[in-house]
Amino acid sequence: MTRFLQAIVQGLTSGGVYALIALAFSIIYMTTRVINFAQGEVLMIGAYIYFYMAAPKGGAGLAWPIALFVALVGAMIVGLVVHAISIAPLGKFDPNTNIGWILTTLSVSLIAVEVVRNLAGEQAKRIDPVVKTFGGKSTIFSIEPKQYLILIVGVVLALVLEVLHSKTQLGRALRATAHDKATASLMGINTGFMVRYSFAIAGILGGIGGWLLAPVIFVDPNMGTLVGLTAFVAAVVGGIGSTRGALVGGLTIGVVESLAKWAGAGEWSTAMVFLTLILILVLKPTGILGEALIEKV
Amino acid sequence: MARKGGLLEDLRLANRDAQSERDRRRALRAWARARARGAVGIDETPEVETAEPRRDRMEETSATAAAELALKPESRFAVVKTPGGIAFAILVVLLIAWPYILPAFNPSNFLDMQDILAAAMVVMGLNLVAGYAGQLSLGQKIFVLIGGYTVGVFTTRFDTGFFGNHWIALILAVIFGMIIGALLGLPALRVKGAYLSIVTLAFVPIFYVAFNSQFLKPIFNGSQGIGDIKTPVGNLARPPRRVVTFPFTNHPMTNYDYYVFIVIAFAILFFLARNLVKSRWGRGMTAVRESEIAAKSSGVRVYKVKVSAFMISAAYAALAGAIITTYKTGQISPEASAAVHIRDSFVYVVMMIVGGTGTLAGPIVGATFVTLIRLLIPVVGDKFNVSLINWTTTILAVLALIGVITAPGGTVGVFQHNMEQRRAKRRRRHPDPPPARLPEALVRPRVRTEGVSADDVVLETKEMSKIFGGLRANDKVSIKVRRGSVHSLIGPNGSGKTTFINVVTGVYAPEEGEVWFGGEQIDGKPAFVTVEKGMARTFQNLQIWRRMSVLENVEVGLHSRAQAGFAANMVRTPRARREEAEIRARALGLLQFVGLEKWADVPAGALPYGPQRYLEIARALALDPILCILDEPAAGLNPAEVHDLMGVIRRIKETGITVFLIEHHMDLVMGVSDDIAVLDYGKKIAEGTPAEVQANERVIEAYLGAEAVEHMGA
Repeated sequence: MTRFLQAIVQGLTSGGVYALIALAFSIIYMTTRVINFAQGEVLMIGAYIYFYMAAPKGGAGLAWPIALFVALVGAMIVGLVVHAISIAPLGKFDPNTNIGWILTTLSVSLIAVEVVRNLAGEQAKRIDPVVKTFGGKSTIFSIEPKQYLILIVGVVLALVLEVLHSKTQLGRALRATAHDKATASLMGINTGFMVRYSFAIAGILGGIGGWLLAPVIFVDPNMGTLVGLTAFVAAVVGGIGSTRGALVGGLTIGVVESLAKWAGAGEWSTAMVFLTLILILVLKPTGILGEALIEKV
Repeated sequence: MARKGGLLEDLRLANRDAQSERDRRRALRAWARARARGAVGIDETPEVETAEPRRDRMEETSATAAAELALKPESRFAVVKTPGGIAFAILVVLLIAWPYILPAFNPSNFLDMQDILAAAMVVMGLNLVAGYAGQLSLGQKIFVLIGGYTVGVFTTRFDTGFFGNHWIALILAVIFGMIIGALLGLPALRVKGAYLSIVTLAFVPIFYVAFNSQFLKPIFNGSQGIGDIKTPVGNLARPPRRVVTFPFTNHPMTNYDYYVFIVIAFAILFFLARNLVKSRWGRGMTAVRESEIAAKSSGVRVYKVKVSAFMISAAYAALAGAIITTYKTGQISPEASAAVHIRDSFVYVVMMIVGGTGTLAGPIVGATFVTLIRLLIPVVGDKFNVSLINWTTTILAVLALIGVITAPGGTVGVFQHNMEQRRAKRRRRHPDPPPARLPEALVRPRVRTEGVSADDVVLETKEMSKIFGGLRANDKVSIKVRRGSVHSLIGPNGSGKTTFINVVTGVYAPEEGEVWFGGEQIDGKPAFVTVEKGMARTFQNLQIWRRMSVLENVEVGLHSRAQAGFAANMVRTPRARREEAEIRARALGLLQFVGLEKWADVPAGALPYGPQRYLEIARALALDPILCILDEPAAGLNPAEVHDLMGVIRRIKETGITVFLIEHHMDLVMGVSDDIAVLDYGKKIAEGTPAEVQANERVIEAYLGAEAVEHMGA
């Protein structure tokens, strides 16, 4: 029983990072209706920047808040670059009938992995966590503080974004853009800015994810791919385009994965995550908290 | 459509009894003069009499008409005589001779043609699902692996038995590929969007785990993989342990024999893909890509089309995987990491993009071009002393980016575009002769009679309500539409008219009440069912397939009038060919009915706004509807066009088709309607003849406001 509860807590903590990246997927989806296949790579690059800034050996050895700040700015720029390379040149397009965006974002993601591998090497890089102990204890419930940090940061950021997007003028502009780009632009909303804003926020979220994951799964060129795909599943399970859905979906998927491991699925636990996606697509394609999209004809 | 020989018989008669071309031209000129004076509308054809006996009517058709239209079912091998077919035949001959040509200028087997052929097969399949049906798979390597593992497992486990036969294993590879394709495609394609891309991409690592796993080691032999698979003689340095033999014999195949088989398989797969693309299913796929909602309401089963296209692509990839595994080394392993397979799947997509998405020759061009680049990268790297090989993916990805952004049509697309422009220029200089007149039997829309209840009421809603988040868009609406009438639904903007249509046609399910059509309760039934039962509609915001030709748009509308399935169209059975000829003939006839015949070959998006509306009407009529629903057909038309439209609506009514019209244009509504219902805030506030409705106070109030009514009363 303890093991079972432990698995759940473990799942919730890793779910925090899925929630973060699911948020990134959702916010980009809201403004552009595309799914950024390079989101996992933004996280990976964020983790690398943090490593090179913070690591005492092999890096600049800066204090972690400074390193984190640089990593977030870097990740934000990467997010904007992804937009500039893969979405902006396509001009106005209908994501449902034009599959070009899938290819451009995927191309950027593959380029990012290979460039980083060639520059930084294949080998995983280790970095110490920011919080090693909590109240003098190195583990609580035999889970390390660095993992709780993921959950706490994930939940807090999801709530902050939820409030930001439901209570502020910026949020209203974002939702208006999500709803109807043409009308929003007629209301004086700079929809081009809203799209870039969503990519920048998604970049920062990716950077935070990279920072949180760096001490947990270590930094290597492929670290983003699976996290990105899993977080996408989380976004769909929660209901893509919904802030709350991203949080719920992220935590759910984290628990599913952790329970699969607990049940002895081992290397198949990733498969369980994607079977969850298939299940959701069959049972409730709009996700747990997603609203049915009404198509106007 | 099943009527055997009917139309074709008509056309043969037309051909035989035709009058001279000059007479026809004279009639056309007279009609044009009358039209210039405004004496006749565009809807009125130059035909003088209509009530004559059939023979005489036929005489109006020109001698060239039937010949021009190629109304005979196309012969199964007609394609070989076209320029493209001849080019392809030459290509096949060159490919078969390739091993003899190769040593002449390149002795060190630099270019393995079978790699290009196998890649081209995978990309041909991918192009069907992604290029034509618009659903991008990012995991085609899964199916290549499945094909390879199928021949691996079967030819080594069963060796000499029935299942150990190489050819049986190839068939099994295709079957397994299709089964896995169905398992991934059925859930992923239920929803619109990029889900197929995500699911296929996500399952690449999972299949990697499966082939690698300890659990399945008894079958797939884990990371070691399977060796000593049956292979032709001559590819390995040592004699192979298990040899592929010719079918039905024990005669071993040499690597050249097997290479020839690869070329033949490639040629067959190409023709199957080509036949499919040119058939009603190919048009259906393009229609799904361009607008799912329009495809649905034209009777195309969107889900079936998407899943079938994906399964076919899986079959192509599995066959290619099985063939190439057999040919190359006789072994297969899961390789070092899942990333390898993700990259390979991506390379197939790059090949498709570079060659030309949604073109027939694209996969061949793309596979050749990208394979050459991959081979050249290390060579160029060596020359300049840089290890370019580590940058292969980056180079290909940059190529894909440039391709998607600058030339979405790929190499072949750009070439076709240039050809098309040249042809258009030539056409401007030497305009085509005016299109031939078709026999009346073809031009007249048909109203369906089989299996239709003789009920006087065609459509009835009983207290029907549709609620959007608390807002009652339709509030207990009860409307009866009489057979053979023109029934209009009017009301201010936002009064729920389009919602009413969407509920009736099955786009939405109502929250309350019932919808009856032709004596059956149909509320909650999906759109394609209502289409099959005889409802056709047009859309307020035009939903035509802009990149398909005007003719093809109508041909898609005739999709559900034919029966031949995917497989029948791929091999072009006699029935499939006969149906295709009839579809074409009827589509031309319907274009003539709405007066668009001279634009048949133009992309629909290039038509002016008014004719686009007519095109949508022609497409709706192609469904042989009982009820034709027109959603604001006059929106955006100028007064002359509205007048023409009135004629078209009247002529639809004459054929016996019931018309349900939603419109703001009061002259049109009052001019053509038998009955009018009025909606306001989702409620029906009046119903009756045009005169009754015009006099109704509540209607005037709804349109002009209560004060206006008081004012008028005063």
